[in-house]
Amino acid sequence: MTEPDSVHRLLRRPHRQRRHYHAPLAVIMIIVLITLLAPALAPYDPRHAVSGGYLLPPSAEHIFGTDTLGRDVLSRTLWGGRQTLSTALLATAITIIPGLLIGAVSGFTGHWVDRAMMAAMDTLLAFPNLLLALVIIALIGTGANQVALSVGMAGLPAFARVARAAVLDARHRLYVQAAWAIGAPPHRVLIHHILPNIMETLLSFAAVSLSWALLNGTALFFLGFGGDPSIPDWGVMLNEGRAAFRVAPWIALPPGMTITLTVFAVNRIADSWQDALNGR
Amino acid sequence: MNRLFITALVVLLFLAACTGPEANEPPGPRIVYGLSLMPSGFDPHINASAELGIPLRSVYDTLVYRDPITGEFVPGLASHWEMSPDGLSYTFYLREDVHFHDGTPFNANAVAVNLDRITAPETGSQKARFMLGPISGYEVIDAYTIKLNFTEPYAPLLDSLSQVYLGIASPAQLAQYDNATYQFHQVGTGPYRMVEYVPGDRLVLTRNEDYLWGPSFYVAPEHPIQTIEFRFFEDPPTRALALESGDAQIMGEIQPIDAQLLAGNPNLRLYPVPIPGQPLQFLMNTRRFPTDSHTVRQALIYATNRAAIVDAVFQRFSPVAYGPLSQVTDFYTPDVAGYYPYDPGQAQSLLFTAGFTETNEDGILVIPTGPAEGTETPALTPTAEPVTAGVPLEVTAIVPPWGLTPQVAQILQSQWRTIGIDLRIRQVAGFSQLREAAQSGDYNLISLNFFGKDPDVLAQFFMTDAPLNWTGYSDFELDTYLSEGARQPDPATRESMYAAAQIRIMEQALILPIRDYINLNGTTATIQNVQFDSQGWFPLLYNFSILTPGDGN
Repeated sequence: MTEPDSVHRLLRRPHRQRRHYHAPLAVIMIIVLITLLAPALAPYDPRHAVSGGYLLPPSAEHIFGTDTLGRDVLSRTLWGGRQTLSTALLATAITIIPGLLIGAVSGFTGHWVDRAMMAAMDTLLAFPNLLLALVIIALIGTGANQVALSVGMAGLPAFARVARAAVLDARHRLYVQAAWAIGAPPHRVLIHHILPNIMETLLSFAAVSLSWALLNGTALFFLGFGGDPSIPDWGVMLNEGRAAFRVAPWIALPPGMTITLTVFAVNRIADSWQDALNGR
Repeated sequence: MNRLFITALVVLLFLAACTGPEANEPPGPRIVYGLSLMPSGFDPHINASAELGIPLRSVYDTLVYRDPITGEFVPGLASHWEMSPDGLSYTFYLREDVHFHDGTPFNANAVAVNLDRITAPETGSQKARFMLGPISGYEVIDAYTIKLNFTEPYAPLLDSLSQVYLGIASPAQLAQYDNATYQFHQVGTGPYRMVEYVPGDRLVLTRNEDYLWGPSFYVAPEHPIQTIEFRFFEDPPTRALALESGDAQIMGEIQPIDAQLLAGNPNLRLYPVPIPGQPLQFLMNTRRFPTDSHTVRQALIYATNRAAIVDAVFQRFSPVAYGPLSQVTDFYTPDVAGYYPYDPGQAQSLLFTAGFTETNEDGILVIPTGPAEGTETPALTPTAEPVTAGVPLEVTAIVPPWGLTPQVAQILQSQWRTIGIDLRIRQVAGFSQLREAAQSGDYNLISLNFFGKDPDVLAQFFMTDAPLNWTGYSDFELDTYLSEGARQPDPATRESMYAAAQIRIMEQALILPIRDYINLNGTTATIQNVQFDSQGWFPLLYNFSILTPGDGN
């Protein structure tokens, strides 16, 4: 009775996914490609003033104009993407690798290990994400890597929670119990039976983590925690542009729009993966 | 818990009933004065912020005042004073007609109580105590005469005594509150009384109608401002907007980029006020490669196009600084202006002399690994030579977030890069992180400057054992100029000592000066007689006048 229905859903799945996430994925790919090619694409040096002056409005020569210190905004936006995206990716790695480890061990082991680890995670979860990142950066000092570390650490408790819940859920499935029954050792059960089956949940939450990392990372750069202010970053540019917004709105717009576009696209991907999961 | 709450409520209601109608509805005309930051504390004897003096300058009187036009010391709470021939004591003869806002009389005992408070170690004074220099004690000669004694002559005393940090507070009020709570209940003798201070929100002053003992340059206007509410506008881009929208009528530290907008608006006025003291500067670490080399330090200054920095970052609102004191500071010497004009060619040849004769693949100068011919490298840095060979010319700057210093550092980076100097910028979050970085010694440049009309401010940075000797420089000659400058009572002697000190600092290239500090104040056109005291930061609120719609203007 249920057989035809589930077969039908499985058949439909690729189509549902394609419809939802191919467009945002293409956007991400384009942004990543452009920022990777920034050294070749950027018409000017992002850190040095062009001769001819500061606060030049957009023109054929400077498509997005120049900023308060006379630097080409387009070049800075392209280079800034490298900094922003690499910080966000590093932060996401710092979130998901230890987060997965803590969540899996906690959910799989249970008992006091689970309670102790989750108590620690819950304590951290009590703080809003960005506040936690601010506290950590206040402790470890300013710098691009420090921003990635603090943003990554701030996202860790939530990811550990999600990973634990997924492991707990999978632990009671029939196929896991079957694996136990044939005498599979614990690490084999975890790695070969549980993890592959919760991968989609984790991936979809990893995408959510990435969009948090993007927003929180640019927020910390915006606030001046990036260490070297001459490193172009979308958050840094947004702050510079904000100070001059009434005189030169063209400085803040490109980084503002690219941040929005990137976060939106990443969120769409996370959503569509989530939809695909729920639809299964 | 509940009982406590009810008790508190009853007390509050009782207090509200006691304060009378005029406190509920402060009299007009009323204006909002925007402060640019929320100081950690508002007690002038304890805290050091310049921001606290903007309201409190008008709550307190000082023993002497300094005429903002002539720079002369004029009578304040002291009608006259004299210095002993050896310079070790000053006797102040006090006015007898002064009373505090709480009605208690002002006399020599009140001065004594204030001096006790400021000098007591448990007060934890961050600024006022140091402004009294080598004070050893005081003697109350009679009810209106007090003598201050010093262990050695201290020429900056009158300038110190003219500042709000040494303002005289009501002894009765000081007895009633402790060091933590007095700041909420301040009582002085000045032209405005403090009505309330709500941290993070507002500080309210009302005019003191009994005020009859102001200094010569306090002139009552036709339309005085009755009530002034100080509010905090900590985010720089919001300041000009607040003036335009009418949220504030006066505002300090307008962003240079917004100042042009203000200047073009017929309803607003712009008052750029030069601030005496040190200019925006980078202190150069003489103990770390490569700024341990005198030649490299000189080259860095030659390589800096300060006019371009003032153009881009400060929108031409600031004069370029050439020395360790801004032009409006006492005993500033114009002779420093001849040092280190912008000359990248000169910078390059100096760097060549210092041994940086080759360029690496990134375009950064390096000291070649083999001995370079025709250079003086071994003579200049004999001990450092083996370590520095092959090392690129990399300079690390620690910058605080304030004063547009990060922007200045980025322009420096851009300018220096063109002649092969690699500037690494490290921005820190605040003063305590700046001090931490300084203590680590891991920097070539670090930016900090203090304000003050008296050049004694230099002693805190350039004496060998000074707390802020972040250049790491030690020189008997410079120490002598600075200590004698503070000891010698004769202004002509002081002038020559400080001129020599300024020249010495520049000859040794201990600092990279950038620009004199200018406070860009904005007001609405209705505020008139806008004047500031000799320290530059503090408004003479007593003189301010306000046009109301009824005035036909």
